[in-house]
Amino acid sequence: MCNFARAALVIKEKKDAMTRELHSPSSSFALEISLFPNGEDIKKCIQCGICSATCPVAFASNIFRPRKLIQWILIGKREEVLKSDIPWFCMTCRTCEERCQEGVSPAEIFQAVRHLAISEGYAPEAFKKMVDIILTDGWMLKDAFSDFIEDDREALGLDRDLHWNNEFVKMVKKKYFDGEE
Amino acid sequence: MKMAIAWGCLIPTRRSLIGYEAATRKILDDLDVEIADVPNETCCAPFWMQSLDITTSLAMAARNLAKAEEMGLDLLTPCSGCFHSYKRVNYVLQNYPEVHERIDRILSKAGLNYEGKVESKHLVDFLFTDIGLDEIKKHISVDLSGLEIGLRYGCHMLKPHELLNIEYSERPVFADLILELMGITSKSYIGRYRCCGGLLRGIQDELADRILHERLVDAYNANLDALVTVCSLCHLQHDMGQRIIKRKYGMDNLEIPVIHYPQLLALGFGHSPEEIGLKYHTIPTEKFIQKAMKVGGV
Repeated sequence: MCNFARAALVIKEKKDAMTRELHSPSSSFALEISLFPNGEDIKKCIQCGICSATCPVAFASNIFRPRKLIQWILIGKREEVLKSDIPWFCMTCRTCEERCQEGVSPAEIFQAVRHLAISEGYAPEAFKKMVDIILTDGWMLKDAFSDFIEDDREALGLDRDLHWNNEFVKMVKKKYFDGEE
Repeated sequence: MKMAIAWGCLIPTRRSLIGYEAATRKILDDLDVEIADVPNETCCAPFWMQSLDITTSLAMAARNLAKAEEMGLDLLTPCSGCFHSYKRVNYVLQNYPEVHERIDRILSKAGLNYEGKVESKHLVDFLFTDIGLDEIKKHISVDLSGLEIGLRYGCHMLKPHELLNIEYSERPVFADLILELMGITSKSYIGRYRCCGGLLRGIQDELADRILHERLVDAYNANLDALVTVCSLCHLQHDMGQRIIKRKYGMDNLEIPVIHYPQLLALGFGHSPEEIGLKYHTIPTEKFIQKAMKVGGV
């Protein structure tokens, strides 16, 4: 099990041991997120909302609001957040991160959230399918790479063969799910 | 100068993107930059793969970096997503010693070693920073004054700037300056720096359409001869996605050619439209080519 998953488990056990959960701006969920690389910045969030104001997805959607999602984490709505589709709306354009005056990266925080969601079985189907393709073929587009494209490549003087393979992926595939040991 | 190059999975594989590779090879050759493909490139494990497990994902990207290090070369990539993954490897190696150790262990089991010495460069930043305007100018043989384009930098080449070490992430001009050497007018218009919605394709298609629609309305109102994209995903979204938007939102007159950044440079260096695959784009590029020929006198 990787360290992140181990830390997550410890916190989850502690959390489960509590009979009644209190929401506070420094919830155990926020603490859990803060253990990820760059996740520690969540403690700096002052909920100003510049992320939601900047976000191109929020502009086009009426449910994705980065500030609100961070608020849910801060007050410890762990299950709601992990089960939700919303953390998967972030496209990591990182405009919010560039504009955040407090040095928070919502993109990194949501990445940590997605990691926890996956380890607890809440990943969207499209995501699982894509991961499965990469961990089988070694890359995303083996199926899309047809004879026609090989011909077009040749016509442009490019190598027909792309030499991609799954040799390396075969070696790391297990680690993706089991962590180190 | 010699660089290792990792193309990413999209550019060599998609019909409308192979022109990106062809044009890049041509301009780098013209500029005397020798390139060596990373042997048997692996997936760079972009951000959504990183959600599955960040250490293993970074090890995937580090594998290509290790190959470049074996060759003793820095790593060039035209893919903004790959660029981000490679930059992230070095960043994490430097700042998270514990993750560093774990990446080392994964690589060593595959008989690989990565010291962290390879600097990864995005093609467009490389042209500006390492080659420079003066050198590029020497290779321009066609004056394209009169062409009015909208340049899209995309997101992942630029942000966050601390990680990517790029000039400036919010309102960059470095890529515009190169195009201006050819007399091209790179128009400033609303939305040119905004996200295209590409990464929501397949996950939230309705939302991806809505964001792309906004971007295309912005571009349409700016009255451009072409959109020029740096990012391969921006290109797929604007080129292939344009048909969807045209039908879905009834934008009958919408037909904006979408050109890859190095293709435009290749035209300026005197290469023909045929050599750089302009006919493989989804939105026909003929009108754009005609205008380029007319203003360029070729």
